[in-house]
Amino acid sequence: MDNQNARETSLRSCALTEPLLSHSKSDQSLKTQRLDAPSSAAFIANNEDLLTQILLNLPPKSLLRFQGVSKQWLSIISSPAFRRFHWRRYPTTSTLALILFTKSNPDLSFLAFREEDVNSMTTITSKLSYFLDGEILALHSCKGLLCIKFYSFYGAIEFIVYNPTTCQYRVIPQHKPAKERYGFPIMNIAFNPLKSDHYKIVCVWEDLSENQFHFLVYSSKTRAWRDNSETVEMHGHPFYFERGVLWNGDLHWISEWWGTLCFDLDNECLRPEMPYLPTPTVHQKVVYFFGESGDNLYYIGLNEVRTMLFNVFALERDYSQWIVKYIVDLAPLTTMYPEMVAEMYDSSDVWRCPLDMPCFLVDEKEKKAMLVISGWGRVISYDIDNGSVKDLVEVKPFELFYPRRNVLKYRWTEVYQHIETLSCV
Amino acid sequence: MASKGNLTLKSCNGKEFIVEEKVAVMSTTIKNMVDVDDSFAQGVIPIIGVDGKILAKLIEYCKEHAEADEDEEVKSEEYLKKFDEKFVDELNLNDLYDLLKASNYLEITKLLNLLCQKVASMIKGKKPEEIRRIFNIKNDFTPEEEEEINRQNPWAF
Repeated sequence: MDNQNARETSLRSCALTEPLLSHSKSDQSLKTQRLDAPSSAAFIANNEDLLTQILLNLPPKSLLRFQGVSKQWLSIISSPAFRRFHWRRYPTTSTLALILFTKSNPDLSFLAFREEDVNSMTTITSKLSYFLDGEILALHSCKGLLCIKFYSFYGAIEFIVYNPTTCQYRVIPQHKPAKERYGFPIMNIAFNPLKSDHYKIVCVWEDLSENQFHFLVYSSKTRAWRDNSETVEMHGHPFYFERGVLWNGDLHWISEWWGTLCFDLDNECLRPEMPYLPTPTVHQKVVYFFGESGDNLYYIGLNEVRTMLFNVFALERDYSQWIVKYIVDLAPLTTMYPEMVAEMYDSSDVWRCPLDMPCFLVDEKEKKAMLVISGWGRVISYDIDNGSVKDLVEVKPFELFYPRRNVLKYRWTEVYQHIETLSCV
Repeated sequence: MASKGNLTLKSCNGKEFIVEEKVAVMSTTIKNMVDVDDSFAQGVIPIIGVDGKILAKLIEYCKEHAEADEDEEVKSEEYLKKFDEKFVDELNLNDLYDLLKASNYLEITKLLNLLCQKVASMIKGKKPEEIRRIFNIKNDFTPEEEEEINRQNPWAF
């Protein structure tokens, strides 16, 4: 390629609507006056690439509003490609909120860490109550989408997938396994917008006659259920099937007794071998937290019984073992909040942990880790690096969580990390 | 490829700037040209559609970032963050749009992202009619269509 050709090629590649650069080695007096373009603001608005770049930096709330600017803006913002890119580009931590859910008071509450960026959730839940006539029976959530099990107004159990950011919802048809005697279905939604625009729902059915659990998979791509023959046998100490955690592309459940169970979402089967939970004695086998943050799967257990020392474990990506990531001493909290000391022993003087840890958030980039702790009538955030504490919300006793007798079972099940997303249901 | 010397950039109103090549090639457009054709490196490169004031701003930005890319210890990430903040805060609206347009032409990705973020933060809380005014956009929805959009997303307003 000679110089002339090369130059033309590079000129073509950089020119968008008008030639920008020209080579003037031989012609110093090239006419270089500004083209009579419309004002730069209008130019930007008419350049779809540039406009898209700008819109990618906006929070979901603004984008939903800006769909009303013009047909062009509506078409950009509502396109699935834009929504997928937006997920990748927009710093989701800034719209971080928690969803708090109680079965005893079947309402969804939202707790936003940065109020100004998150929609007023009261209006969102009021929209939900428009078609959710009856009680919410169960909730599962993944990356901003909720899977809600509820009683419909005519008394039947229904499932919907709901995006509280866009208020879009979809009724999921029910599909029972071929066998007859089954318990109630437990739904888990798995959604990874970085990988796919589609989500899957894994429904766990208990086979009442054979102590087995049966797994059915719904895909939003095919809008159909697949009934594979995957089952797991279980005698007592079942997994917390209500609270599956998506990590490493697969869905995980935990059991204090059995360790973890991994459901391979691509092949729709169970992974054969999983490591045991790294707690040495039965007494310490209480799951204080099990969940994903910053692309790690975490499990929090007591370091030593009758202390406030906790181990935060992360599972190796190859599933070989759990490794200790942090050791957190929460004893200073007892000095800060003397009210919680009263809760450290039950009526028969047995020691119990006076707090729950519904959420653990790690920001790998900022090298920060935060525990959300609840109990003694409040929810606080605890920075595990410097021990700083922030009051998030005061709550009436038991408003957020089950009564004490059930607290072990539900200590982390009823709080989900919520991220605003424009993803379609 | 040209030696790591200086390049001369010329604005549309005739102002010439002599800049180090490492500064100029922060612009992917200029880098591609210099890579392909040595003769660009020795002559004057006219930057059509960008006046002297905007070109000076572009060079100011590229200088800071090119030096930081070369030696991370001299300019920390924090320093650059502060520089970026000050840089965009001092721009008036016209300059911001002109700079955005120019950095898009010249493919100065870092600056383009910074300016897009700035524009986004400026329009974040605005109403659709304000957005139309800012960007001189015509409302091409029928009243019925507009109502339907508002009905679908009432909480966003």
